[in-house]
Formats: sequence, structure tokens, C-alpha cells
Amino acid sequence: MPDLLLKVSGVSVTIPTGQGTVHAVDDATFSINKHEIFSLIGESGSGKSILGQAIMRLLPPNAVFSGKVELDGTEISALSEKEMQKVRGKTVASIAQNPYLAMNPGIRVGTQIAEPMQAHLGMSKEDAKARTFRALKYFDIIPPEVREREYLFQYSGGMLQRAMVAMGTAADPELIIADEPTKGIDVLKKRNIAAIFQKVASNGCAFLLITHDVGFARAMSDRIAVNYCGQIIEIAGKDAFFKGPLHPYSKALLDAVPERGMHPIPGPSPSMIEVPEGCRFHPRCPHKTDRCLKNPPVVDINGRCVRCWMYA
Amino acid sequence: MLKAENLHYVYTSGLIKTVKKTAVCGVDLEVCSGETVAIVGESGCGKSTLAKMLVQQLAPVSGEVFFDGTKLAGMSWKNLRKFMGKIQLIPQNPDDVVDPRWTVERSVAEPLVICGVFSKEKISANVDALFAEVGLSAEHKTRYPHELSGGELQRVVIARALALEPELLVCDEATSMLDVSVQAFIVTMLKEIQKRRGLSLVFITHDLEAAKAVSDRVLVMYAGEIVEEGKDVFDRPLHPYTRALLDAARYMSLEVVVPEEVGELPNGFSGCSYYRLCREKTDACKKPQKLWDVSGKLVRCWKSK
Repeated sequence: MPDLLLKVSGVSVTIPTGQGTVHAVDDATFSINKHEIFSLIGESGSGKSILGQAIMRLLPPNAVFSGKVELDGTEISALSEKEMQKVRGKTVASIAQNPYLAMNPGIRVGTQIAEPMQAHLGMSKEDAKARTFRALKYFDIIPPEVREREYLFQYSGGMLQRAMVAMGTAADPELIIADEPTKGIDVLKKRNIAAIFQKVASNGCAFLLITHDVGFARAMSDRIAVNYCGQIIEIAGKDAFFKGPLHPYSKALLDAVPERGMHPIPGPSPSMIEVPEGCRFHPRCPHKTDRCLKNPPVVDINGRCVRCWMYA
Repeated sequence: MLKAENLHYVYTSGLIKTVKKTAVCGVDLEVCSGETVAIVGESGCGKSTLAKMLVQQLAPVSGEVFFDGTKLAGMSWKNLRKFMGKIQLIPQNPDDVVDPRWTVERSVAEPLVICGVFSKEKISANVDALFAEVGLSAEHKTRYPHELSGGELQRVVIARALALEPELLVCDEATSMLDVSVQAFIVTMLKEIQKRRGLSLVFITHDLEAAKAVSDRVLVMYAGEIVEEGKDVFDRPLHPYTRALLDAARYMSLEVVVPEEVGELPNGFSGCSYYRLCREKTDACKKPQKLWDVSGKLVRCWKSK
């Protein structure tokens, strides 16, 4: 039995809006082991990012959270905000999609990277600075003594991405949550990000990758979870998943990638406010029967989880 | 049908200390009727500038664009307008095209009004047909852009581009911000429209697999130049840059390549544009490279012959 790091059980998030209640996450249950790269794939608007925010406790203030998140044995979903601040950035860190929104344009990059070390590891300013130098060098941001004193606008896009990883890993977190790290960037930059993540993972850090990029998830992860309309509908090991996905939606999603002929999924994406009754994929599913109108059970097949009546 | 010869574009910025940056450098391009041509390359290699020159949004610094044998550059605005409808651009970000304060119906009807269709019945019949063609229902017509999802809005933009019955669509990263299933839907739809109307497509993307799935012919661009062109570019890549792109797309060699570290090319360097990052470079690469014809493919690398 590998060491358990993160355990998410029965997490649901609803967000009341003017048009009605958005069921962003429904009954999410999964776990991430130490040193594991776990990918959460799914389409935009399926609630993946909200799930990531729920784990970090960074949800919008009007969101309603229920369920339990355990990190390294402590139930972080029950911590007070003050205690959570000690966990955030230290044990679990997040790497945002857009460096321009995640970093402060008015503060030197070196200072921002040193900040989690001073806050969480109790380092003195000098120690933190020396360690920032090493981190910058490690992520090929050279020469570190010059780059440390520069601001965001002096960095190139690729360098910023690496600086953000340096900031996320500054306090040696055990888990990194990366939200859409490859959205809208070209293949060469994508490969660079994959390489940096592998480098960080080889030091023993676990990853939760939230992405809609199936190819990137395939190259990186150990296990894959598929999210559809707020629910996790399948969890499987990478090789088993790409060899034979079980859930009809997983199959349809894989058939839509260019390598497999770009077959579109029939029907429109469901609304997150008035979610379909029973199985949420049934209006678009080619195998639907009458029982699909009832909530499908989560079936465990040799360590793979699938939420579908076909396997019940 | 569309022919571009020796296109150049240079961006200048700054008032006192002008900085010149060459975006497109001597591109020749030919698109036949009914053909799909894909242009691939990393961001910043001049793909979008090339697209803008093809649809006459930017005037090339030098070089010519011909459409059905007629030279477009230097034509008067009045004459050019007849051709503008025949070549349409579908941009990456649909929000750039539609007015957020207009209903999408009005946005789709706008090109018709501009080109002198004024009867209300005619416009509404046309718009209905266009909405049906891209698979949107009548209830979508009265909505505003923010009320539509990314895929639906992209379909509105395609409907708008089809309004003037174009013969050529230039899709500039039209699907790269969309999810895989939506991307598959849009691409399948574009191919169907192409078959029905006999359109030509220029498909600009950085997604190699999508380019491979869509196109009849592929052009690989690097630093404003075409470095490789042909039908089976991805099965038999000859230029080192194409190979590097393919390796990156398959996550073959996981190492960080830092362009800043390699250093700038010396001033006035006239050799191979890929010299800086090429792994197979020799002294002969410092000479200017021309496009070699290698068994039906064009490759800008002397080693390939």
C-alpha cells in the first residue's frame, strides 16, 4: 500500500448565482498517493478548477462546500483560515495558469520566490535569498543575481512560467495543484513545462494536474480521473485508461482527439444549473437505457472506478 | 486560386529609437481551389502576420498577393472590396469579431449590409440559412455574445464569415482555445461546409495533430520563413526544426530548451534561420539557405538533398 497523501471524500460545491444554483462539484471522491502525478481531465466548465480551489480552500466567498479533504492525515477542510494559511504554500501549493495574474508586477521576482520560504520555513532574509538563487539556477533562469532583481515585465513568457514553478516549489510542498498549465501555448513550450514538472516530480513532489489537454495528461500522469458535468466519472491508471476507457464519455472524449480521427461528441454540453437527472451523460450516451435515469453507482473494477450502470 | 509571392512584413516600433522586427520573410504560398493547406509553427513565427496579409488586413512591405490571377496589392479600396468578401478570416478569439453590445444575429447580418443587401426579408432569410448551416438554432439568434459558450460563439463567427459566400477561409488558430470535443465538432463542420461549398481552407495552428488530421498539404514556418512544405511532412520530416516540433509534440525528449541561453545570432548573420538551435549544424549552415526540392517536398536545409 503506497503512502496516502491527499484524500478527498464526498466533496460537493454549489454556487448560488442569479440564474440559479450551479452544481460545480458533486460527490468528488479520490485520493492521491505520495510521489504520484494525478491528472483531472475534462472539458471547460465541468467544474475541474472549482475542485482544485476547493482543495486549496480558495473558493469564491458565496460557494457552499460540503465533504472532507484530508492532507497527510489532517483534515484541512475543517481548519480555521489562520491554520489553513500555514498549510497553503507549505504542504500544498498551486501553480496558476497565467503568471501575469498570479504574480505581483510591482514586486521583484526574487522577493516573490523568497516569500514562502520566509513565511513557512522561518528562514532569515539572507538564507532565503541564497536559496532563491539556487532555485533560479535550477530552473534555468540565469544569471540569478541579475534575474532576482528584475520585475515581471523584464521576463519572457517561458521564463515567467519557470519562475512561477520556482515560487510554487519554494517551500518544498508535498503536493502541487497545477490548473491548466498548457492552455493555449505551443508544443515547444508545452514540452518545456512537461520537462520542468518531471524535474520537480523526481524530487518526490506529488502533482494534481487539472487540464483539458489529453496528450499532456497522457505524457505526464500515473493515474487519470475524468470529470464530466461536475462529477468524476472514471478513475484509472494511465495505461489501462488509454488502452480501454470504460465510461462512454471517456471513450467519446478520446475519440475526439485529432490522433483518433476527431469524432465530435453528439449533443450539447449540459447545463450546470439544471443538471440532467440520473446519469449526467445519458442525454448524449449511445448506450443509454431506462435505468440511466436513476443515479448510477460508482463501481470498483480491479482498482478502477467508473460511474456507470453498464458495469453495475 | 490564391497565390502569394515573396511576402515580407516588418514591424517597426518606437519613435526615436526605432526597432525593426521582421515577422515574415520571403514567403511563397499557393492555395488551389478546394484544397486545405495547414501552416504550423511555434508562437511568434509569423503565422498570424501571414494570415493578415492574405486577407488584406495588412499591406505587405514587399511581395504580391494574387487572387484568381488578379493582383490585390495596390488596388483601390473600391475595387478591393469585391475581393474582400471572397477571402475571409476566422480569428482565434471570437470576441475580437463580434460586438458585445449587438445580438449575434446583427453581427452575422453586418457583412451583408455592408455589401449592399438592404431588403429586410433577404437578410433575415440569409441569416436563417447561415445559422442552420453552422448548426445553431433560431433561439441563439437573439442572444448576446456573452450568453454563448466558446464553441457556439466560434460557430457564429464562422456563419458571419460565410455570409458573403467566400471562396477561401483563413482560420487563424480557430480551434486552439477550445476543448477537444468542441474542436472536433468545429473541424468536422468546417470540412463539411468545405465539401458542400467547394471552399479552400488555410488552417493555421500550432497543434500538429490537428494539422495532420485536417490538411492536404502542410507548410512549416520558422522565424518568418517556410522551412518545409509538402504532403507527408509529419511522416517523413526532413528539416531539423520539423523533427524538433514533432518530438516536442510527442514529448519524446523531456529536456528544457532555453532559447535565451543559446545566445543571439551575430548581427548581419545571413545563414540558416534555425542555426542557433539546430543540433546538426555545420559551417556550411552559415550560408544563406534556399528551398530545395526533395522528391516533391520543399525543404530549406542543404543537408536534405
